[in-house]
Amino acid sequence: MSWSLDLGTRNKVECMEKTLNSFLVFLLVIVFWISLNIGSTPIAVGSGLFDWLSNQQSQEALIVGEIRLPRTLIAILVGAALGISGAALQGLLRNPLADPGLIGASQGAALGAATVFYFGVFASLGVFATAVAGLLGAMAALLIMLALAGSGRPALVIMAGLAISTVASAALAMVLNFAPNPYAMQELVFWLLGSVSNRGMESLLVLIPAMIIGCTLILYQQRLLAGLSLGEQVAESMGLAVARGSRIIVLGAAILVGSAVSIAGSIGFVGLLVPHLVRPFVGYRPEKLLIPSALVGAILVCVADIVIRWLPPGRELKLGVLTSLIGAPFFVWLIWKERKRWI
Amino acid sequence: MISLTKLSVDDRIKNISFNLKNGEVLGIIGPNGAGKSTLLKAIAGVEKFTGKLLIKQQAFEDFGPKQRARVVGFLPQSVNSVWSLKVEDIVTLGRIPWGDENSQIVQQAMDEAKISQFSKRDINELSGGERARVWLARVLAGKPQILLADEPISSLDIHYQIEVMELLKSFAHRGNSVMVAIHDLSLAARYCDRLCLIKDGELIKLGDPTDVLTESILTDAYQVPVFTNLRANPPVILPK
Repeated sequence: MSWSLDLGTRNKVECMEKTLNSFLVFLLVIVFWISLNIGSTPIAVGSGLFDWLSNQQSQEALIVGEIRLPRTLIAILVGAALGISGAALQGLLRNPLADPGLIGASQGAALGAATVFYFGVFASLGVFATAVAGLLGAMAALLIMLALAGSGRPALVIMAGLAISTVASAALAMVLNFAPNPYAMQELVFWLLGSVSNRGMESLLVLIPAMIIGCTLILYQQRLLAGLSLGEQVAESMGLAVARGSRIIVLGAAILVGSAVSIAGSIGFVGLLVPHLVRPFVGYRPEKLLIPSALVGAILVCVADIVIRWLPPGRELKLGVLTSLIGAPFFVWLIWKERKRWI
Repeated sequence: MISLTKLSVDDRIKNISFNLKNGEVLGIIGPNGAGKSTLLKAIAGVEKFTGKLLIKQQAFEDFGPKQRARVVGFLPQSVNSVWSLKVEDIVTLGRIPWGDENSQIVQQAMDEAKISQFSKRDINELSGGERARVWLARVLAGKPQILLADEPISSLDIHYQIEVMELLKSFAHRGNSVMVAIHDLSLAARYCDRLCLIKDGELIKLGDPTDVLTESILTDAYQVPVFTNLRANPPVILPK
């Protein structure tokens, strides 16, 4: 293989990166197709999709266009949003335990979105109301957490996150407590458990712009994430705007987490798990972790949603419950592995 | 290369003025808590200061952060990589001010710091001495003309202490300048062209090692009787 000798190491790394991303995109397409094929009624997905795209009325078009396609796309976008924001937050805080759910962002977003359900704030924003409230909630939680922690030290970040999520959960419990009727309370609890089913195409109007803006903000700060590997002082001395860049990353993550939670409720541990799975494949470089984490997050949530639909019919297991069941033991294992570094 | 006029940082550095000349290694010495690190951080743009600072005859404020980082390289006292990065990737981070990943320059920096043999290794697998040279190579990869090193040899054995100081000296003698905070006064006498003694944020004495490292000045600064023999080879400075 003489060509490999001619390539510089950098080129080889870039080559590996491209191969990894192409492989993940390929995998995502397969998962996407399988997801379209899973449902209570067996249908010809290809023709259904074609009918729906060409605006023809048919049963297949209805099932694919109204039920399965939105569900699949929402799972993919929510997973990607959680994956990339987990990777970005871990890089920013230099903390492998940072996860939107563990540092309070998800609870903040849930509180924001729940407030909209009850008090009808931002009513003029229509479908965007819960998303905007979710974003504000996530951002407030992240900013308070950063102020409280004061630094990127792992133990402090987790403690501050725990404090913020406790406060947000308490406020959320109060909202539930004052629910106008039991039905509304049940609806809110189910939404909080996390799911991507029964959401219409209009959810994509929230998720797609949020994805574009959030990812752009985060990807624009790749160099900062790289520099921060060696600490804030080194990053600053290399001419990076640490304070400004950190705020941009927090804003990007808040937009992604806020919109994801407002649409799908809380899908736990994706942001924690995904960067860990990807890290060895990108040489542990935080800036190279972002795009593969988005792809793996998308694949993971979509696969989890497929598993849920495969389970015997009856009481549906909520997506957020499944990801937590997988993610929580992983979190325990991670602490087991990391504890040597803390002591 | 650098000119400081009445530089102050809160009450940690008080009205310090001096110059860093082209081609010299300037040692910053002084007891713990004297303000050595703060002084270096201020020049590196990490710490806010008042007063006038000229870098290559240009005012500090006229430099953009990136421009400044291309001229001034900063090696903090304690560096750590949170992630298990490869040595080569860490050295490549030094290219951030330039916005490229020039592999030739990265290789050159690794050769200079003598770490090429473990360029593919994980940073966490290396010993303290090897890591210290990796952090130094990271700064060298940024091709600075002024290198600020905060106690680069404090955790090294005598072999690596000599090696790092030799490296800093040869870097300076190639038309660059080095400002190094250092605790080992014997090595300071041996490798620094000039010394700047500070205490409680104030400049006590600036000049050639023979002018600064006198028994009376050091005894006064460190509050402990000091024995010096600068004519010995290598020079010896020890507490009595």
